[in-house]
Amino acid sequence: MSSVNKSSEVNGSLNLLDLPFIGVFFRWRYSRMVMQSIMLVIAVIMILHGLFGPQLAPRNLSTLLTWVHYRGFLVLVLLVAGNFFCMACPFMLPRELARKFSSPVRNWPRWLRNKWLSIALFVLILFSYELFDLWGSPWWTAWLIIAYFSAALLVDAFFKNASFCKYVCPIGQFNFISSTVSPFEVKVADTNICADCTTHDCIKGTRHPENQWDVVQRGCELALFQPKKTGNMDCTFCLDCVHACPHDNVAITTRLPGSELWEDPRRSGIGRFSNRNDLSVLALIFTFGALLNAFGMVSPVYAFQDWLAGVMNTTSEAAVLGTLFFLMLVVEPVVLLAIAAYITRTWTASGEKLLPVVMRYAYALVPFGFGLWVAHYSFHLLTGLWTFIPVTQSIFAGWGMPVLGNPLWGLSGLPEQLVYPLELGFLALGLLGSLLVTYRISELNYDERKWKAFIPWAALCVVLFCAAVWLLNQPMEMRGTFLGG
Amino acid sequence: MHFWKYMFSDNRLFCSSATACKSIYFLAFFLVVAGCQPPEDQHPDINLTWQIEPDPPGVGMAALHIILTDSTEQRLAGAEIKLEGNMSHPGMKPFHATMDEVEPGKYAADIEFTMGGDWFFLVESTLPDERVLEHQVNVPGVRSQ
Repeated sequence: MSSVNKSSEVNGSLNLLDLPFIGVFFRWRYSRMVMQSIMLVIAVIMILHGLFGPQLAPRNLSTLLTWVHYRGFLVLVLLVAGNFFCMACPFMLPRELARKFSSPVRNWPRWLRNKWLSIALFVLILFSYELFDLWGSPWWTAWLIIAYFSAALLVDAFFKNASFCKYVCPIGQFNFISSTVSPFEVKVADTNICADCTTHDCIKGTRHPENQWDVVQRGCELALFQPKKTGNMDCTFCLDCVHACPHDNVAITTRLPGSELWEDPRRSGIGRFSNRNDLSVLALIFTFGALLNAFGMVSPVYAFQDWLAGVMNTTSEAAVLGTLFFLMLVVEPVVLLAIAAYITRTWTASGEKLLPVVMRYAYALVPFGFGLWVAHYSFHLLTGLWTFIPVTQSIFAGWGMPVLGNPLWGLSGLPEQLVYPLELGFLALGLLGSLLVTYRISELNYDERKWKAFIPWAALCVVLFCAAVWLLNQPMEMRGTFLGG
Repeated sequence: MHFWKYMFSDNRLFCSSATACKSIYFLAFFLVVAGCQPPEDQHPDINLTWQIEPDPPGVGMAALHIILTDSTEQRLAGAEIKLEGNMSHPGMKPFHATMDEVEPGKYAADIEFTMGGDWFFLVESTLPDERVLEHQVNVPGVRSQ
């Protein structure tokens, strides 16, 4: 029954695993550990430099690599490839070490098997970033990385499977929702082979032939059964399924980015998107969080916050920032989406409740939201691309070993004038993606009335796009404080 | 079941050697990092006062004046002062300048704030007696409009 796919194409799609070098590397059982180890070394350097290095953000690898390079490369890799940063995630290595001593025996609590906790943590990180000016503090950035390692270790040492990745990790959720518009997906190469499979190693793991209790290669820890898996949601690209499948029938293939956002099959480990309000809310927080995060870096936000502080008669930065978050992450999406859903219901005379309409179309905003995240983070990456070089040189120079030469503090990156058109391009790409997903959702759910359903949501996408373009054209103003600052 | 109730009921977390082993692992992990303290700033005896015009500054050109004095409040003339300006956000392009001594012990440089936000300047002063001093001058809240 064994069938090895030697072609680099799977159903007309490119299979990364069959490419020379890359394919050989990913098929190697220890490829992930190598990538994680490299990232771990970088993370340790960042922590040490953040704690003991100069407390100047531009001169510290902790802040520089976290807020400029990591975020920038993360979104660009998600855009051009897939969730490879989860694949190389170093936070998993300490837990792997802990599991050498003992395996967890508890299941993650049933009432927490959703995205609500991770959504709350995602908002908390965005809030802390603004309130505590994390970008400007190597010390706190180092502790944020330590906290991440600790949380991953704590959760996964006590709970079975990849509970931290699936239910807790805010970066993971960002990567999962972003990777729905990525061009690569881990999926079955030939469904006919799976139809005859009786062992289901891709989810159960590969057992030792003489001892069925001994798992020699684990299966998917995120409960994604390959034959029933659709899209990238919840997939960390760990490739455990690739290594476990005895038929070599799991591939990393190209697909139409975003297509999983309009399809609504029952997905293994997830269920139907239309039944998952937590995922819809994640999509909305992801999208409006992109606007909020970009808004936090431009000049008008300070005038607005000053005005808000006056109205609230407070000098508490936390109170004003909390109100801003509430307005932009709750009030704004509720109002805009309710209007769009109401018009859709009225024009199509569907008679359905507003909430299901909102939850259905929430996924259509993801490409736009991702476009804005890419535009924002790629700006910082590209304009500050080479800034890590003088900082690294200065570390060696500080040790009295200027082996890399004197720090070239003049190095930066691409000029802003060159990056601006790229930012617009990312935004436009996101808008096109959202319009496509909106159209397909309308087509699948409203048939002949698809245009009447499509127009309100397309208009919403255009409004958000215009807001994002307006944001990009505002003068940047990166202040740590706004009240009396 | 409520999360904390679930975690702590019947001493779930501390009921076996395996979990005790994990707890020790966590403790060791935290102890390794908990001893760390942020480095303290070091200030030399030489005093540096500064002034910027316009105050508050906005995006565009501004003039930075620096006065160096010793412990007897006598101005220190003949120093060579280099300046590096940068933002609190990492990844921005810094600018460099050498300050002119406009009167004994008083130094000035024209600087350009290319973006609104929090700025700082690293001031490296080489005194006539070859001592090299470093100061940091913070200029928060440069307005973009």
